[in-house]
Amino acid sequence: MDTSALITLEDPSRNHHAAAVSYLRETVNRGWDIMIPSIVLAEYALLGDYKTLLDGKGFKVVGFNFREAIEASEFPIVIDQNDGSRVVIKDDAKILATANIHCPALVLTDDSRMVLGPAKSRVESLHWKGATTRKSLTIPKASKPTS
Amino acid sequence: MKTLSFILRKENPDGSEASPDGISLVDLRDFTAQVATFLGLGRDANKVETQIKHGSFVVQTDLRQIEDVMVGEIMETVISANRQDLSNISRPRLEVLKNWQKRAQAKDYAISIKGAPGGDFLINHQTPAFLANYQPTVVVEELQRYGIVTDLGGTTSPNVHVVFDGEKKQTTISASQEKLREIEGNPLFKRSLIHFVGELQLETQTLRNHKLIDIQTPNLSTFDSWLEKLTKNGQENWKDVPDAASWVRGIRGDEEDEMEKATRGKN
Repeated sequence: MDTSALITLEDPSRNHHAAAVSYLRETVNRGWDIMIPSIVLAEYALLGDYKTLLDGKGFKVVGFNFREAIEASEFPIVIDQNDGSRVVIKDDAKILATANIHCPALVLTDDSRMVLGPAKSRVESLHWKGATTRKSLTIPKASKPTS
Repeated sequence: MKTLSFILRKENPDGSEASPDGISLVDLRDFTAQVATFLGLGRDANKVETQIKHGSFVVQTDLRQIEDVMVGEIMETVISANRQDLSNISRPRLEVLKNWQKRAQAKDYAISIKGAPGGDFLINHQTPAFLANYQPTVVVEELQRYGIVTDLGGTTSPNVHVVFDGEKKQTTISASQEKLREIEGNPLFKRSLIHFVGELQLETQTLRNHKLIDIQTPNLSTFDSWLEKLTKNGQENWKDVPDAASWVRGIRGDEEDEMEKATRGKN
């Protein structure tokens, strides 16, 4: 799960909240694991209730370690800061690299630009290293998740 | 018949011709067990046929009786060992090779593997000690994985036995008595989330030295009450974030002042 999806899940006033709950309920019912990259947790914990979130509902935090770092370094999502004096790897790339290492069935986000932006070509080319069931999608308005 | 032969030869200090007579029964037993480990056959070790040939003890394997994938792995291992490139050799095979080199360095045995592409592999007392000096690259990983807890306890060496999802073998995770005391509820024979650290050998992707951090047993029956608790303060927590997607993009560097905005509400 991406940070935007977690925010939508926690805040009932969000447009896609019902869909986020529906996804989560279905995921829990199926006994699927729900992975949260540590980078996402760092963002979410700024304002979100991370203690309740992680309170035994099938969430597991996946860290950003050696393999994820090397994977992220191969992503083309690199930003040249302002005058070109500093090059950074965008967190989108780190999160998608984490997903690539841990092979989720799907990546849940409420930010269409995460996959439609600079990461798009990489995501499509990943698509995602042979895992045919894996796809990245934005939470739809429909309340039922696709299988 | 395509075969791979593992040959144990006694190195006579006086340079006289080697003989199987000089190999002890224990060494014969250990060598055959090591060959079975090297081949990765486990309980299928009965597929290994042996021959006593003049001057040596030979364990000869009929490769037609081993799965193709396994044969590929074995051959890659021999080729890598010949190149003294140990980075992709699995830990059990590496341990066997180290053991062989140790014996060879003691100048009592020579071991060779014949039949692999790229040439025969030989370890004797003249071979450089590249195996003994090899240090694999290891990083400490903190992981959360689901599995079934099959046992926990112990007074002198407290630990937890877990069969992780997708695995058949049991993994032992060391723990302190204090950690085990802190675990809420009884996780025995329940699918639980195991939080632990382990040493990951990068080349072989094998984990070892697991140490327990926590065990959580999900309680699916309380999903609604959990959701109610999670969302109780959700609107208040995120009131200064009208658009989640743009806020996230901001703290990822798209807009410089978003991190300041994000943390303002916390202070």
